[in-house]
Amino acid sequence: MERQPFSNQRVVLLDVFRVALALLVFMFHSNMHFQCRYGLLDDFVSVGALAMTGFFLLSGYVLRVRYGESNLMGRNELGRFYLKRLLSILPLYYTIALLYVGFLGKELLVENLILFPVEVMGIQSTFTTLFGVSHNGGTWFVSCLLLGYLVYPFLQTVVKQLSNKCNIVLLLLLIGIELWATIIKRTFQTCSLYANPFYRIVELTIGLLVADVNMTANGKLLNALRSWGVLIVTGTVMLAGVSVVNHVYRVHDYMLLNWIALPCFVIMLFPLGYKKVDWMEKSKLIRHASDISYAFFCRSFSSGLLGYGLWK
Amino acid sequence: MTGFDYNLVRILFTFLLCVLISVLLYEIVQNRVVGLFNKMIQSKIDL
Repeated sequence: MERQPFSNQRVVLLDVFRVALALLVFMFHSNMHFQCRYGLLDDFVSVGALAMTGFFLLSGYVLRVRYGESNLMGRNELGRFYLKRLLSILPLYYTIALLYVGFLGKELLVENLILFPVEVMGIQSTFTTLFGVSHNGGTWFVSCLLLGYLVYPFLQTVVKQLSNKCNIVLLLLLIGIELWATIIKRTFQTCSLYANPFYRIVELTIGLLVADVNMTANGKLLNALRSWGVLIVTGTVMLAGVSVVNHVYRVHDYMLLNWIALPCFVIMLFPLGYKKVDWMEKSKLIRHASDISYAFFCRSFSSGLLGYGLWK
Repeated sequence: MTGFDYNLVRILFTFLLCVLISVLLYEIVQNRVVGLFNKMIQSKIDL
């Protein structure tokens, strides 16, 4: 079954995708902090941080589906958009940050006070070297997401005004920028791109563009991309490709593996955002799992540490 | 206990801990805050 464009319904396969990404992040952290082993999947799981690329693409895609009909630059809509986004993120983020600082943090009181305004506003990801400080190794993505939400209404307004052809060119250009940045990083040994808000916003924009093309354009190639076969083949190629490359080269820079993962995630979004599976649409379990996945993303990092401490 | 069992126990322990805390955080913090906010503005915010 297929989906109507911007039907404002929940896209259940995207919920499944979000849950799968959350599980991959959990496996990655449990492997890193807790030395859990996953057999044949170990080579893939040890670079499971790649899931964050899928997560930002998915965020852009879902926002476009959800706000497709809205004029987000209108005064009321803009305020409502920001209010909803902040409410969906900040309460959990503040709770986790407080729990971490209170029970696990190693920073001095004065350091926490200096960090406080930056972390309250969620702009810590703009300081790349703060990644290893306090809870930022686990909550950097909240900061990137907040900055992404800040610019999203503008991005959507631009994308909606462009033709499908322009959006496809823009999509390819942004994928190129994202991939080329990994070469620049490797060649000149720049700061890590992993928690860099600019490149995460580029990923969010790629998701937005994929959604726009998938929901508004038609054609033989697009119809072929939306098939189950493409989803299975692309998923398999990503799993096998990343595993083999990591097994042979032991890649420490996760973002380099985006040369395989990013195109695969992009292609997978076409069928995931288009297909409908009736029995899944009614599943409360999938819906709830997807709802708590944000909390799960946040907690998997800190729980890994907490669990490690308890186990020891 | 075999090495495999030990690994499985570690995975289950960490996974259940994560799920438990995530559900608690979601139900207690997220739903409660949104509920309170809805009451304040007297309109439904569908998150």
